[in-house]
Parts: sequence; C-alpha cells; structure tokens
Amino acid sequence: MSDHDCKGCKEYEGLTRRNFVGLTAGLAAAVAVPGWLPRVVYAASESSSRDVIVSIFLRGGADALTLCPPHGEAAYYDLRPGLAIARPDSSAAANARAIDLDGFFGLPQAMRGLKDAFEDGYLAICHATGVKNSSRSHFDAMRFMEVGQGGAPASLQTGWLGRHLQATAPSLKDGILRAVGIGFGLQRTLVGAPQALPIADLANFGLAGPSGSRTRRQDALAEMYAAFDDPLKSSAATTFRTIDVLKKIGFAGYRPSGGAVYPEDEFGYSLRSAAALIRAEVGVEAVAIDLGGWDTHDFQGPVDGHMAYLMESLANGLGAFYRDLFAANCRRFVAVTMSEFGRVAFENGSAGTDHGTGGLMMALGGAVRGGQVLGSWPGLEREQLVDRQDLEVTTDYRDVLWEILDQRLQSPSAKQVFLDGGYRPQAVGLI
Amino acid sequence: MTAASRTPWRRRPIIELILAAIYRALYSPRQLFERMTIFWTDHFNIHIFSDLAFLLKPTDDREVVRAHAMGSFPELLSASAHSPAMLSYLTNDSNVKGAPNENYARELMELHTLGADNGYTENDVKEVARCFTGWAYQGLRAGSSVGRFSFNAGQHDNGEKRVLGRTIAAGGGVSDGERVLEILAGHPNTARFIAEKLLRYFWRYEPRPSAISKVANVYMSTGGDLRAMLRSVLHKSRVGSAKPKLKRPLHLMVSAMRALSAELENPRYLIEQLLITGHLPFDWPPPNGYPDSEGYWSGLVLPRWNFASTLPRRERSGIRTDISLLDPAHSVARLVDTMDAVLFNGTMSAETATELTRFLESGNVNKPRIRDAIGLAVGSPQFQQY
Repeated sequence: MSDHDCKGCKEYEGLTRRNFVGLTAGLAAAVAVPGWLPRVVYAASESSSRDVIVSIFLRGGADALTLCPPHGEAAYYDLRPGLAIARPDSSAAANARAIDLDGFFGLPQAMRGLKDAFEDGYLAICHATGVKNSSRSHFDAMRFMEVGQGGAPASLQTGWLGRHLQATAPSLKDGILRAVGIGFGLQRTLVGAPQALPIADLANFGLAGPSGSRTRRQDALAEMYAAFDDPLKSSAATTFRTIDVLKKIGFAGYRPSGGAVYPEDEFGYSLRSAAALIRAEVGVEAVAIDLGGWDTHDFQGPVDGHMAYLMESLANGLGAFYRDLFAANCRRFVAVTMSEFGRVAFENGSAGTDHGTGGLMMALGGAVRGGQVLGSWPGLEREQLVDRQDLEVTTDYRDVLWEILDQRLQSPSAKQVFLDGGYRPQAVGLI
Repeated sequence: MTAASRTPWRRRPIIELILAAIYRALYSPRQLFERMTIFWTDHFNIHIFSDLAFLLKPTDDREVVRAHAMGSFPELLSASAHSPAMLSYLTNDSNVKGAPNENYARELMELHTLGADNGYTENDVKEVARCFTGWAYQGLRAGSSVGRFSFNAGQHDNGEKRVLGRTIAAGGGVSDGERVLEILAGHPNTARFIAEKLLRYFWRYEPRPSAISKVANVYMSTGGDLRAMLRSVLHKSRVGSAKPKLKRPLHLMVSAMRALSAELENPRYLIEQLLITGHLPFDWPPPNGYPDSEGYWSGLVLPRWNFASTLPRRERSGIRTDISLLDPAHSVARLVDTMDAVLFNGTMSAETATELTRFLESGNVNKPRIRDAIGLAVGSPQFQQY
C-alpha cells in the first residue's frame, strides 16, 4: 500500500514505510505456511494499490431478518410476532422501531452505529446471501464458507483469503506480515496464506514473563536460535522482527481519528488494533476477526436482549472503524461481514430462532457503493421459503467476496481463489 | 469456532475427553502406550467439534483407540470401521443403496490403510462405498443399545462388487464391508504405509526404505501385531541413528512438565496454550489428523517461548513445578549441570549451556532468575526437539 491515498496514515506516530523496510530488509521467510498444503507458485511482482481486507465472521449463524429487517414485508410480522423489529412508523417504543433505509428494509436501533456509514454511501448490505446447498451444522457451514466452497462435501483445507494471498504478490516487498488472524489459532479463512500469524492481542505480541529480565532473555533466545538450524532459526528471526514491528506501532497508545470511540469490548478492541495496523502500513493486507454469540435459539432479544447487545458491539465497532479511518483519509480498506447461515424465518417457542439458510453480508469501505440493500429479495410468503421455513439464498456468498477480491485486491482469477471450475461469479453491484 | 458456538451441553463431554487425554499424557506411567494412543488418535482422526462427535468420540477413544493401541492393526481397523463416531464423522452412516456416499471408502484407503494413490483406483473407491452401504448405528429410539453399531440390510447394495481385483460375491450383506477390511488389512501397501508412519513418528521424518521394508515385513509375518512392529521400530540400532524431530506443541508442554515433576493444579492455562499453538487434542477438523511434519509446526515459536517462561510461574500457569533441586546457593556451573540432567538427560549442547551460564551470571542468582533460566532452557531450540 505504498502509494495509496492513505495520507493521514503516514504521519501516524512518525511511522513511515521506510522505517519498516529498513527494519525488515532481506527477510523473506514465510511464517506458518503449513507444510502439508499444496505448494503454490507465488506471484512475482509486488503491487501497491490494493485495499486491505478485514474479514469479519459472525459465528453462530446471525439472524439476517433482525440485522436488516424487511419492514415492508407483511409476512415478516406474521412469522415473527414476538421478535420482529417494528415498522419505522409504528406506535411501538422508539427503541423497538426500525431505522428506515430504503422504504422496505431497515436497521434495528441496536445497529444505529452504522447509520452514518450507510447514509454517507460507504456501507452496503447484501441480503439473502450465503452458501447454496449448505448445512444446518455450524461446523460444516462455517467450513464451507471459510474454505470458500459452494457446499458439500468440503474437500478444501485452505481458506479463500489464504489462497488469494498465495496467488498475489505482497503489497510491500519486504513486509514481514501479510495477514493477521486476531484470535487463538489462525482462522480457516486465512489458512494457506504466506506470512500469516494468529495474534490474540496485537498490543502484547512479545515475550511473556517478568519485564525486568525480558531484554536479557530475548537476547539469550536470539543467540541460541541464531546458532541453530532452519527452520527454527529463521522462524525465530521472523518472530523477533515481527515483535519489533508490532512494538513500534504502539497499539496501546493509539489515538483514533475523527473522535471515533471504539466500544470497550473484545470486538471493538480488535477493530481498534486493526485500524492501527492498517494505518501503520507495515504491509498487512488482510485481517480476520471473529465475533461470536449469534446462535440465538432462545431469548434472542433483538431490541434489548442478547442479540441487541451483540448488534451494538458489531455496529458501534464498525462505525468507529469507519469514522477513524475516513477521518485519517485512509480509505483503502474494505471490511466484509459474513455468518455461516441465517436463521429460520419464523420464531420458535423459546423466543428465539433455529438454524436456517439465507443470511446477510455487509461491506464497508472507501470503494463500496454503499447506501443500498443489494441482492434479489426472495420474499417471506410460505411458498417463497425454502422448505417452507427458510429465507432462500439468492446471492452466492462467493459473488460478494469475489467482487471485492477482483475489483479491489487485484486477485488473479476466481478459479484460483475458489478452486471450483463450475463456479461463475455473478455481479452484485457492491463495488 | 468460538466458545459461544460450542454450546454448554456439548462442551462438557468434550472438555472431559480433552482433559483425560492431557492428564494421561502427563501422569500415565505407560508412556509408550500413551504415545501410541496419540498416534492412532491422529491416524483415525475424528474432530470432536463435528456433528455428533461430542457424544460418540469418548466411546471411540475408549473402545477403539485405547483398546487396540498396542494390539493388532486389523482389529483396530475393524473396530474403527464399526465405530459410530467414525461412521458419523466420515458420513458412512448415510451411505445407502442407490446413493452411495464415498467419503469413508476414500479415506479408509487413502488415510487408514493403503496411503494416498497407493494401489487403488477411483473405481475401487466406488466399489468399496457400495460394500459399506447400510452400515449405521443405533439412534436414540434403540433403548439400551443406543449408539451401538447396526447394519441396515434394507439399505445395503447386495450386488456383486470388485475390490482391488477381487470379487465379492452378491448377497454378502454386512460381510461385504468386513471382507473389504480384511483385504485392506492384509495388503502389503498397508503394511508399508503403517510401517513408514510409525517410523516417522518415533524415529525420523524421512525413514530409510530399508527400515520401512523391515518393519513392514514384521507386519506381514505377524498379521499386523503392533507390539512386534514397535519392537522393530524402537530397536536399539535404530534409536542410535535417530535424527532430531521437532516436538509438536502438546509433546513440548508435556515433556517439560514431566521433566519438572509438574502438577497441573488448574488446566485453564494449558488448554489456552494448546489452543494458541493449534494443538488441542481432538481438535483437528480434516480426517488426516494433526500433521507430523517439521514445516507445519515450526512457524509459531513465540507461543513455545511464552509457555516456557510462564511454566515455572505457578500463579500464572496454574502448574506447580518442582525446582527444589535448583538451589540459588549452588554455583552457576552446578545449576547448569542440574538443568542438563533434569531437562536434557545430560545431552545439553554447548550453545545452550553457554547461554544459560551467561544469563545466570548476568546478575544475582535468586529464585526468579532460576525460573527465568528454566524458561530459557525449555524455550531453547534444543528442547524443541526430541
């Protein structure tokens, strides 16, 4: 991302790309590339004008009919007598009424943190998306979506984003880290990516133990590993350089721009760290973040309960991320959300919803043609529902991902990313 | 997957099974047996978070893996094929006449017996799948036999099949699948595949063909007697020529804890470290099991160092280590010798000894400094290998 319009980023903490090039020069060792994966020939030339992608997985099967309620559809209120988000003009309590987006769809009040981004034209919602022919098992459905497959059987081991990174040259020639999965263990989405690391807390990527002896201990380890054989030797060298790079970013002291306030929760903290990472321009091209808890079988609470709380975390986090990066004139990013499946169109007897089919994806970023709810709406009348119970998937989730990868990340071909000769991407109109 | 998607009623048997595996790795006096259970847990991998594995895998662990870990391979293979956990994980329970599901048939040959592309064709996969049609297990309505193997004759394809050049006559019913298992267990490619895998696990990443032949011959002459094979694998002539291998994360943690006579007072930290390093028992999704390769595991060294430096700090690790042999009153040379004896069995390299000495001499030798030194020894490149 050397020449992009991220001018504000360069001033951040006096950190420039040059610092990092100097710091990391000559280092090309790949980190955590599983040896059993098929080897792919990496693209040869570096490239500099790609968006950074932030891939956000809402784990548990997020209910699309609450995230973006179709308040213009009468059947919605028949199916969800206790859980529907009320019409914008209804007489329900203010916090129960939808914020109207386009006369048909809306946002629940818990998602108002994204209202600005939508109205400014940088947030798009693609409704009724997902894996066609998926599974109602969390495990299988997540797996399909993370490996980037169309449906059963899931035979791929690497992730769609991992394969995209394999197939493209690094955006920063001597960058140390191309992708970060925030969490314990790399998200499957990123498996196969060269120079990808799982990092639970970017601010604390360093040697544990007493700080008083840290330098001495680090020196001793450096000596021992430098005198040892590969691959441990180069792996240790990469680790020390990554520690240095991340330490220089100074996550703890990061000050968001534009008065953005990230929520004081794990998701907000992850997004705040991702923003600092993107603005530091150290060559990170992809970040994966998880937000769990969407498996709302009972007491879904779309207005003031469990799901409302989750939606606030999601929307306030992403809203702050948008405000922060845009105020810093750092628009070359695209954040995309997905979930393994949507939920059954009608509510169950426990004030919740069970595993369904059609879900929803959101895209936020400088190049996103926002302010619109995209996708072909299948309708909620009984005969329009899949198995008479589920919102139909009318947009293949890969179409959304592919449009981003193709238009903004210079991905070579959908075939190389999704490894599915039968898949033909359809335009979504997102970018 | 996040903790939230692992609902509590599923989590309990999962956590208990994982903890049982960890406690046995740490405390069992039968170390070779436990190493073998880890080997077979990978070989016949079943992901604990898939579908119904949280209910079925604990039985599979007890009645398949642990029951046969040092027994006979043909019996182990047969137990695995009949195991509801495996039937469910590789969807053999939905393999029915007219709509065969090839999932188990393919992995059976590729991963469990012959090895990838090693003497079978696509047509063999299709025929083997037909042989296993109707294999299932008892569902919830079966009363006391719930979760036991069952054969659904009505779903079995009773036509003639040809598997690896042999004819399986029509009308064999459940014996078709059993015949397939016999053919595969008696196949010389299976003998070589298992021999090579055992040698790689215990000896070196690239075992010599002559060694593979020797162990495979033991398999063929004993009908797959695992004890006899292990005697050959671990023969003193071979142990002497072993090349260093990288410990996988669980192995690293357990070996350090065993060396320091550690007591696991609270498993929380250890579980978290196994998650961070991607080596939580039973948590490998694809059917091939955790890799036994240097390239796969060498990328993440920081979590190894951090485990090493945290381990001797009970208040953080929940682990009580016995470092009473390391008295701050002892000379630095004696302390390094003791660490050599305790952690490296007297084989500490000169580089490791030099760095530990330099570190200990860099200030007052007190308990915290000794703990730091243990962290360095356990985090050293030499201790990552075995």
